[in-house]
Amino acid sequence: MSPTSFPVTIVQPDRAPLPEAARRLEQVPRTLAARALHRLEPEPGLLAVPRHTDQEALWCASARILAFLEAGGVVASFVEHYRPWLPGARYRHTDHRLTRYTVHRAAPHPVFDPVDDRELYEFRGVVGWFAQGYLEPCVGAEVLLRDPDGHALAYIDRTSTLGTVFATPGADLLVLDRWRRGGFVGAFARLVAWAREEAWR
Amino acid sequence: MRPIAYLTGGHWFEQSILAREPYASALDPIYLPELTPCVLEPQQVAILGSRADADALAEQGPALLAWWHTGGDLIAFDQPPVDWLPGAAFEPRETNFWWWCTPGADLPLESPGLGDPVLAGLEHDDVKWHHHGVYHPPREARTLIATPDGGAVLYVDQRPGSGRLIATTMDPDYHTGQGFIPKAERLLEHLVVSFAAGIRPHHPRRTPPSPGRPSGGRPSPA
Repeated sequence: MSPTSFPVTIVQPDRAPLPEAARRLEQVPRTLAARALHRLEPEPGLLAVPRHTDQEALWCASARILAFLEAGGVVASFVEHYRPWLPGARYRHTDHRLTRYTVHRAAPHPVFDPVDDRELYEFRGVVGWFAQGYLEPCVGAEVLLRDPDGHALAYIDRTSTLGTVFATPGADLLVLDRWRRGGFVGAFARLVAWAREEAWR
Repeated sequence: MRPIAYLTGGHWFEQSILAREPYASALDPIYLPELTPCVLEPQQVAILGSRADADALAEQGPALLAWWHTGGDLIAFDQPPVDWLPGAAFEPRETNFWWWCTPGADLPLESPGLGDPVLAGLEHDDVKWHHHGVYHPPREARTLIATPDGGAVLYVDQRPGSGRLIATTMDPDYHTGQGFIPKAERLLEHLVVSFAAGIRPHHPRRTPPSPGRPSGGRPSPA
Protein backbone atom coordinates (compact mmCIF):
# COMPACT_ATOMS: atom_id res chain seq x y z
CA MET A 1 0.00 0.00 0.00
CA SER A 2 1.56 3.29 -1.04
CA PRO A 3 0.98 6.44 1.04
CA THR A 4 -1.32 7.82 -1.62
CA SER A 5 -3.53 4.76 -1.64
CA PHE A 6 -4.53 5.01 2.00
CA PRO A 7 -8.34 4.93 1.83
CA VAL A 8 -10.15 7.54 3.90
CA THR A 9 -13.92 7.23 4.27
CA ILE A 10 -16.15 9.78 5.98
CA VAL A 11 -19.57 8.64 7.14
CA GLN A 12 -22.06 11.22 5.91
CA PRO A 13 -25.26 11.42 3.91
CA ASP A 14 -24.97 11.32 0.14
CA ARG A 15 -26.54 14.76 -0.13
CA ALA A 16 -24.31 16.50 2.41
CA PRO A 17 -21.35 18.54 1.16
CA LEU A 18 -17.92 17.24 2.03
CA PRO A 19 -16.53 19.07 5.07
CA GLU A 20 -14.00 21.76 4.25
CA ALA A 21 -11.35 19.98 6.31
CA ALA A 22 -11.75 16.92 4.09
CA ARG A 23 -11.71 18.89 0.86
CA ARG A 24 -8.31 20.30 1.76
CA LEU A 25 -6.65 16.89 1.94
CA GLU A 26 -4.28 15.90 -0.85
CA GLN A 27 -6.39 12.83 -1.47
CA VAL A 28 -10.10 13.61 -1.40
CA PRO A 29 -11.86 11.14 0.90
CA ARG A 30 -14.76 9.06 -0.19
CA THR A 31 -18.05 9.24 1.64
CA LEU A 32 -20.49 6.58 2.72
CA ALA A 33 -23.91 7.19 4.21
CA ALA A 34 -24.44 5.61 7.62
CA ARG A 35 -27.22 3.45 6.24
CA ALA A 36 -24.86 2.25 3.49
CA LEU A 37 -22.13 1.05 5.84
CA HIS A 38 -22.94 -2.52 4.90
CA ARG A 39 -20.81 -1.69 1.86
CA LEU A 40 -17.78 -0.81 4.01
CA GLU A 41 -14.84 -2.88 2.84
CA PRO A 42 -12.65 -4.51 5.50
CA GLU A 43 -9.29 -2.90 4.83
CA PRO A 44 -6.57 -0.93 6.63
CA GLY A 45 -7.94 2.53 6.00
CA LEU A 46 -9.50 5.30 8.06
CA LEU A 47 -13.22 5.49 8.80
CA ALA A 48 -14.14 8.90 10.22
CA VAL A 49 -17.47 9.05 12.03
CA PRO A 50 -18.72 12.63 12.57
CA ARG A 51 -20.41 13.65 15.78
CA HIS A 52 -23.97 13.73 14.51
CA THR A 53 -23.95 10.45 12.63
CA ASP A 54 -27.12 8.38 12.91
CA GLN A 55 -26.36 5.85 15.64
CA GLU A 56 -29.23 3.57 14.77
CA ALA A 57 -27.56 3.06 11.41
CA LEU A 58 -24.15 2.67 13.03
CA TRP A 59 -25.58 0.04 15.34
CA CYS A 60 -27.03 -1.87 12.42
CA ALA A 61 -23.60 -1.76 10.79
CA SER A 62 -21.63 -2.66 13.92
CA ALA A 63 -20.58 -6.08 12.58
CA ARG A 64 -19.25 -4.43 9.43
CA ILE A 65 -17.39 -1.82 11.47
CA LEU A 66 -15.90 -4.57 13.61
CA ALA A 67 -14.74 -6.39 10.47
CA PHE A 68 -13.13 -3.15 9.27
CA LEU A 69 -11.25 -2.87 12.55
CA GLU A 70 -10.21 -6.51 12.56
CA ALA A 71 -8.75 -5.99 9.10
CA GLY A 72 -6.43 -3.37 10.56
CA GLY A 73 -8.60 -0.32 9.94
CA VAL A 74 -8.64 2.82 12.03
CA VAL A 75 -11.97 4.19 13.22
CA ALA A 76 -12.02 7.82 14.36
CA SER A 77 -15.26 8.40 16.25
CA PHE A 78 -16.52 11.77 17.44
CA VAL A 79 -19.87 10.36 18.53
CA GLU A 80 -21.59 10.57 21.90
CA HIS A 81 -22.58 6.94 22.06
CA TYR A 82 -25.91 5.65 23.19
CA ARG A 83 -25.76 2.55 21.01
CA PRO A 84 -22.92 0.03 21.40
CA TRP A 85 -21.71 0.18 17.82
CA LEU A 86 -18.01 0.73 18.58
CA PRO A 87 -15.97 -1.84 20.52
CA GLY A 88 -14.63 -0.63 23.83
CA ALA A 89 -16.38 2.73 23.95
CA ARG A 90 -18.92 4.03 26.46
CA TYR A 91 -20.16 7.61 26.75
CA ARG A 92 -21.16 9.32 29.95
CA HIS A 93 -22.77 12.73 30.07
CA THR A 94 -21.62 15.30 32.59
CA ASP A 95 -22.60 18.80 33.56
CA HIS A 96 -19.32 20.58 34.07
CA ARG A 97 -19.53 23.90 35.78
CA LEU A 98 -18.52 26.74 33.57
CA THR A 99 -15.83 27.98 35.90
CA ARG A 100 -13.90 24.76 36.30
CA TYR A 101 -14.12 23.18 32.89
CA THR A 102 -10.70 22.56 31.41
CA VAL A 103 -9.05 19.98 29.22
CA HIS A 104 -5.77 18.43 30.26
CA ARG A 105 -3.20 16.58 28.20
CA ALA A 106 -2.50 13.06 29.33
CA ALA A 107 -0.21 11.98 26.49
CA PRO A 108 1.30 13.69 23.44
CA HIS A 109 -0.31 13.12 20.07
CA PRO A 110 0.27 14.78 16.69
CA VAL A 111 -3.40 15.75 16.39
CA PHE A 112 -3.38 17.81 19.58
CA ASP A 113 0.31 18.73 19.97
CA PRO A 114 0.05 21.98 17.92
CA VAL A 115 -3.00 23.10 19.92
CA ASP A 116 -2.33 25.49 22.79
CA ASP A 117 -3.48 24.38 26.21
CA ARG A 118 -6.09 27.11 26.44
CA GLU A 119 -7.29 26.46 22.88
CA LEU A 120 -8.27 22.99 23.98
CA TYR A 121 -11.07 24.31 26.15
CA GLU A 122 -11.71 27.94 25.31
CA PHE A 123 -12.78 29.65 22.12
CA ARG A 124 -13.89 33.26 21.91
CA GLY A 125 -14.34 33.30 25.64
CA VAL A 126 -16.58 30.25 25.64
CA VAL A 127 -15.58 27.11 27.50
CA GLY A 128 -17.28 23.76 27.67
CA TRP A 129 -17.63 23.34 23.94
CA PHE A 130 -15.04 20.57 23.62
CA ALA A 131 -17.35 17.97 25.07
CA GLN A 132 -20.41 17.73 27.27
CA GLY A 133 -19.44 14.33 28.52
CA TYR A 134 -16.62 11.84 28.64
CA LEU A 135 -15.71 8.37 27.49
CA GLU A 136 -15.04 5.25 29.48
CA PRO A 137 -12.45 3.46 27.38
CA CYS A 138 -11.55 -0.15 27.77
CA VAL A 139 -8.64 -1.27 29.92
CA GLY A 140 -5.39 -0.70 28.11
CA ALA A 141 -6.52 2.29 26.09
CA GLU A 142 -4.13 5.23 25.80
CA VAL A 143 -5.83 8.36 27.11
CA LEU A 144 -4.75 11.56 25.33
CA LEU A 145 -6.93 14.19 27.00
CA ARG A 146 -8.76 14.28 30.31
CA ASP A 147 -11.42 16.47 31.91
CA PRO A 148 -10.97 18.02 35.36
CA ASP A 149 -12.21 14.83 36.99
CA GLY A 150 -9.70 12.70 35.14
CA HIS A 151 -12.16 11.21 32.67
CA ALA A 152 -11.09 10.53 29.10
CA LEU A 153 -11.85 13.18 26.48
CA ALA A 154 -9.74 11.51 23.79
CA TYR A 155 -8.24 8.04 23.68
CA ILE A 156 -6.67 5.45 21.43
CA ASP A 157 -7.74 1.82 21.76
CA ARG A 158 -5.39 -0.77 20.24
CA THR A 159 -6.55 -3.64 22.41
CA SER A 160 -10.23 -4.25 21.72
CA THR A 161 -9.63 -5.27 18.11
CA LEU A 162 -6.77 -5.84 15.70
CA GLY A 163 -7.31 -2.31 14.45
CA THR A 164 -7.27 1.06 16.18
CA VAL A 165 -9.96 3.30 17.59
CA PHE A 166 -9.41 7.04 18.07
CA ALA A 167 -12.33 8.50 19.96
CA THR A 168 -13.57 11.75 21.45
CA PRO A 169 -16.95 12.36 23.11
CA GLY A 170 -18.30 14.87 20.62
CA ALA A 171 -15.20 16.91 19.80
CA ASP A 172 -15.45 16.54 16.04
CA LEU A 173 -12.14 17.24 14.29
CA LEU A 174 -13.95 17.76 11.00
CA VAL A 175 -15.82 20.66 12.57
CA LEU A 176 -13.07 22.05 14.79
CA ASP A 177 -10.76 22.20 11.79
CA ARG A 178 -13.29 24.38 10.03
CA TRP A 179 -14.37 26.92 12.60
CA ARG A 180 -11.35 27.16 14.85
CA ARG A 181 -8.17 29.03 14.31
CA GLY A 182 -4.72 28.33 15.65
CA GLY A 183 -3.67 24.81 16.44
CA PHE A 184 -6.88 23.11 15.40
CA VAL A 185 -6.39 24.13 11.79
CA GLY A 186 -5.20 21.04 9.97
CA ALA A 187 -6.23 18.75 12.81
CA PHE A 188 -8.13 16.40 10.51
CA ALA A 189 -5.19 16.23 8.09
CA ARG A 190 -2.95 15.35 11.01
CA LEU A 191 -5.42 12.66 12.04
CA VAL A 192 -5.30 11.16 8.56
CA ALA A 193 -1.48 11.21 8.56
CA TRP A 194 -1.42 9.56 11.96
CA ALA A 195 -3.98 6.95 10.92
CA ARG A 196 -1.92 6.07 7.86
CA GLU A 197 1.06 5.33 10.11
CA GLU A 198 -1.19 3.50 12.53
CA ALA A 199 -2.55 1.26 9.80
CA TRP A 200 1.02 0.33 8.90
CA ARG A 201 1.75 -0.55 12.49
CA MET B 1 -51.38 15.67 27.12
CA ARG B 2 -51.59 14.05 23.73
CA PRO B 3 -48.31 12.62 22.47
CA ILE B 4 -46.34 14.57 19.95
CA ALA B 5 -44.46 12.57 17.34
CA TYR B 6 -40.78 13.38 17.78
CA LEU B 7 -38.96 12.47 14.59
CA THR B 8 -35.49 11.38 15.62
CA GLY B 9 -32.25 10.72 13.83
CA GLY B 10 -30.21 8.48 16.12
CA HIS B 11 -28.61 11.14 18.33
CA TRP B 12 -27.61 11.14 21.97
CA PHE B 13 -29.34 14.42 22.77
CA GLU B 14 -32.66 12.91 21.74
CA GLN B 15 -32.25 10.12 24.27
CA SER B 16 -31.39 12.69 26.92
CA ILE B 17 -34.59 14.63 26.26
CA LEU B 18 -36.78 11.56 26.14
CA ALA B 19 -35.60 10.51 29.60
CA ARG B 20 -36.93 13.71 31.20
CA GLU B 21 -40.30 15.27 31.87
CA PRO B 22 -42.31 16.81 30.39
CA TYR B 23 -40.76 15.37 27.24
CA ALA B 24 -40.95 11.73 28.29
CA SER B 25 -44.74 11.98 28.56
CA ALA B 26 -45.36 14.36 25.71
CA LEU B 27 -43.08 12.99 23.00
CA ASP B 28 -43.51 9.76 21.09
CA PRO B 29 -40.19 9.08 19.36
CA ILE B 30 -40.28 7.87 15.78
CA TYR B 31 -37.03 7.16 13.96
CA LEU B 32 -37.29 9.33 10.86
CA PRO B 33 -36.00 6.80 8.31
CA GLU B 34 -38.66 4.34 9.48
CA LEU B 35 -41.54 6.81 9.49
CA THR B 36 -44.57 5.64 7.61
CA PRO B 37 -47.12 8.38 6.97
CA CYS B 38 -50.01 6.33 8.29
CA VAL B 39 -48.67 6.47 11.85
CA LEU B 40 -49.26 10.21 11.95
CA GLU B 41 -52.89 10.98 12.61
CA PRO B 42 -54.65 14.01 11.18
CA GLN B 43 -54.58 16.89 13.67
CA GLN B 44 -51.58 15.38 15.43
CA VAL B 45 -48.37 17.31 16.08
CA ALA B 46 -44.94 16.24 14.86
CA ILE B 47 -41.55 17.72 15.67
CA LEU B 48 -38.66 17.20 13.32
CA GLY B 49 -35.66 17.10 15.63
CA SER B 50 -32.40 18.93 15.12
CA ARG B 51 -29.48 17.50 13.15
CA ALA B 52 -31.79 15.60 10.80
CA ASP B 53 -30.07 13.39 8.27
CA ALA B 54 -30.10 14.88 4.77
CA ASP B 55 -30.90 11.61 3.03
CA ALA B 56 -33.63 10.67 5.50
CA LEU B 57 -35.26 14.08 5.22
CA ALA B 58 -35.09 14.05 1.46
CA GLU B 59 -36.85 10.68 1.51
CA GLN B 60 -39.46 11.46 4.15
CA GLY B 61 -39.99 15.17 3.54
CA PRO B 62 -42.64 14.85 0.83
CA ALA B 63 -44.79 12.54 2.97
CA LEU B 64 -44.45 14.85 5.95
CA LEU B 65 -45.55 17.81 3.89
CA ALA B 66 -48.47 15.87 2.50
CA TRP B 67 -49.55 15.10 6.06
CA TRP B 68 -49.19 18.79 7.01
CA HIS B 69 -51.40 19.73 4.07
CA THR B 70 -54.16 17.53 5.50
CA GLY B 71 -54.15 19.21 8.90
CA GLY B 72 -51.14 18.05 10.90
CA ASP B 73 -49.06 20.57 12.83
CA LEU B 74 -45.39 20.26 11.92
CA ILE B 75 -42.54 21.87 13.86
CA ALA B 76 -39.10 21.79 12.24
CA PHE B 77 -36.02 22.63 14.29
CA ASP B 78 -32.52 23.61 13.22
CA GLN B 79 -31.05 24.51 9.87
CA PRO B 80 -32.40 22.18 7.21
CA PRO B 81 -29.83 19.77 5.74
CA VAL B 82 -31.71 19.99 2.44
CA ASP B 83 -34.21 22.49 1.09
CA TRP B 84 -37.56 20.85 1.64
CA LEU B 85 -40.01 23.39 3.02
CA PRO B 86 -42.52 24.74 0.48
CA GLY B 87 -41.70 28.18 -0.84
CA ALA B 88 -38.90 28.71 1.66
CA ALA B 89 -35.23 29.22 0.94
CA PHE B 90 -32.69 28.69 3.68
CA GLU B 91 -29.73 31.03 3.95
CA PRO B 92 -26.89 29.75 6.14
CA ARG B 93 -25.18 32.30 8.34
CA GLU B 94 -22.34 31.97 10.77
CA THR B 95 -23.68 30.98 14.16
CA ASN B 96 -22.58 33.52 16.74
CA PHE B 97 -22.58 31.51 19.92
CA TRP B 98 -20.13 33.74 21.75
CA TRP B 99 -21.83 37.15 21.55
CA TRP B 100 -22.81 37.11 25.20
CA CYS B 101 -19.18 36.70 26.26
CA THR B 102 -18.17 40.01 24.68
CA PRO B 103 -18.96 43.09 26.77
CA GLY B 104 -21.36 45.34 24.95
CA ALA B 105 -22.02 42.86 22.17
CA ASP B 106 -25.51 41.94 21.07
CA LEU B 107 -27.35 39.40 18.97
CA PRO B 108 -29.51 41.51 16.68
CA LEU B 109 -32.92 39.87 16.76
CA GLU B 110 -36.51 40.99 16.51
CA SER B 111 -39.53 39.12 17.80
CA PRO B 112 -42.62 40.67 16.26
CA GLY B 113 -44.64 37.51 16.78
CA LEU B 114 -44.44 37.04 20.52
CA GLY B 115 -48.16 37.73 20.69
CA ASP B 116 -48.94 34.98 18.19
CA PRO B 117 -50.65 31.94 19.75
CA VAL B 118 -47.63 29.83 18.86
CA LEU B 119 -45.28 31.88 21.03
CA ALA B 120 -47.64 33.64 23.46
CA GLY B 121 -46.20 33.41 26.93
CA LEU B 122 -42.59 33.65 25.83
CA GLU B 123 -40.52 36.79 26.09
CA HIS B 124 -37.89 38.17 23.77
CA ASP B 125 -35.08 37.00 26.04
CA ASP B 126 -36.34 33.42 25.78
CA VAL B 127 -35.60 33.22 22.07
CA LYS B 128 -32.40 35.23 22.06
CA TRP B 129 -29.43 32.88 22.25
CA HIS B 130 -28.39 31.93 18.73
CA HIS B 131 -29.68 30.64 15.44
CA HIS B 132 -28.23 28.75 12.51
CA GLY B 133 -29.19 31.00 9.63
CA VAL B 134 -32.43 32.39 8.30
CA TYR B 135 -35.31 31.38 6.08
CA HIS B 136 -36.81 33.47 3.34
CA PRO B 137 -40.32 32.11 3.80
CA PRO B 138 -43.25 32.19 1.40
CA ARG B 139 -45.23 35.42 1.19
CA GLU B 140 -48.24 34.08 3.08
CA ALA B 141 -46.18 32.95 6.08
CA ARG B 142 -46.09 34.81 9.40
CA THR B 143 -42.58 35.61 10.55
CA LEU B 144 -42.53 35.57 14.34
CA ILE B 145 -38.80 35.92 15.01
CA ALA B 146 -36.50 37.69 12.57
CA THR B 147 -33.13 39.23 12.04
CA PRO B 148 -33.14 43.03 11.50
CA ASP B 149 -32.61 42.53 7.77
CA GLY B 150 -35.81 40.52 7.51
CA GLY B 151 -34.55 36.97 7.59
CA ALA B 152 -36.95 34.62 9.35
CA VAL B 153 -35.57 32.77 12.36
CA LEU B 154 -39.03 31.33 13.07
CA TYR B 155 -42.06 31.46 10.84
CA VAL B 156 -45.50 29.89 10.63
CA ASP B 157 -46.94 28.73 7.33
CA GLN B 158 -50.60 27.77 7.31
CA ARG B 159 -52.51 27.15 4.11
CA PRO B 160 -56.23 26.50 3.60
CA GLY B 161 -56.93 23.08 5.09
CA SER B 162 -53.41 22.56 6.33
CA GLY B 163 -52.03 22.45 9.83
CA ARG B 164 -49.39 24.86 11.02
CA LEU B 165 -45.87 24.50 9.74
CA ILE B 166 -43.56 26.12 12.26
CA ALA B 167 -39.99 26.27 11.01
CA THR B 168 -37.11 27.71 12.99
CA THR B 169 -33.37 27.78 12.54
CA MET B 170 -32.98 27.45 16.30
CA ASP B 171 -32.18 24.06 17.80
CA PRO B 172 -33.67 24.01 21.30
CA ASP B 173 -33.96 20.23 21.51
CA TYR B 174 -30.25 19.81 20.79
CA HIS B 175 -29.17 22.25 23.48
CA THR B 176 -31.69 21.00 26.00
CA GLY B 177 -30.47 17.46 25.52
CA GLN B 178 -26.83 18.45 25.67
CA GLY B 179 -27.34 20.63 28.73
CA PHE B 180 -25.47 23.32 26.85
CA ILE B 181 -27.25 26.67 26.88
CA PRO B 182 -29.99 25.89 29.41
CA LYS B 183 -31.83 28.98 28.25
CA ALA B 184 -32.73 27.15 25.03
CA GLU B 185 -35.08 24.89 26.94
CA ARG B 186 -37.62 27.67 27.39
CA LEU B 187 -38.57 27.52 23.73
CA LEU B 188 -38.61 23.73 23.63
CA GLU B 189 -40.68 23.36 26.76
CA HIS B 190 -43.09 26.05 25.63
CA LEU B 191 -43.73 24.39 22.29
CA VAL B 192 -43.94 20.86 23.67
CA VAL B 193 -46.21 21.69 26.59
CA SER B 194 -48.51 23.95 24.65
CA PHE B 195 -48.84 21.75 21.59
CA ALA B 196 -49.27 18.61 23.66
CA ALA B 197 -52.09 20.31 25.51
CA GLY B 198 -53.77 21.16 22.25
CA ILE B 199 -52.06 24.50 21.65
CA ARG B 200 -53.46 27.93 22.59
CA PRO B 201 -50.44 28.28 24.84
CA HIS B 202 -50.77 30.56 27.81
CA HIS B 203 -48.88 28.92 30.60
CA PRO B 204 -46.76 30.53 33.29
CA ARG B 205 -43.06 30.94 32.73
CA ARG B 206 -40.96 28.24 34.33
CA THR B 207 -38.02 30.47 35.09
CA PRO B 208 -37.67 34.22 35.04
CA PRO B 209 -35.69 35.69 32.15
CA SER B 210 -32.15 36.81 32.67
CA PRO B 211 -31.34 40.38 31.68
CA GLY B 212 -29.91 39.88 28.25
CA ARG B 213 -27.53 37.04 28.93
CA PRO B 214 -28.02 33.32 28.66
CA SER B 215 -28.69 31.91 32.09
CA GLY B 216 -25.36 30.32 32.75
CA GLY B 217 -25.43 28.76 29.35
CA ARG B 218 -22.36 27.46 27.71
CA PRO B 219 -22.89 27.88 24.01
CA SER B 220 -21.83 25.08 21.79
CA PRO B 221 -19.93 25.27 18.53
CA ALA B 222 -22.17 22.71 16.96
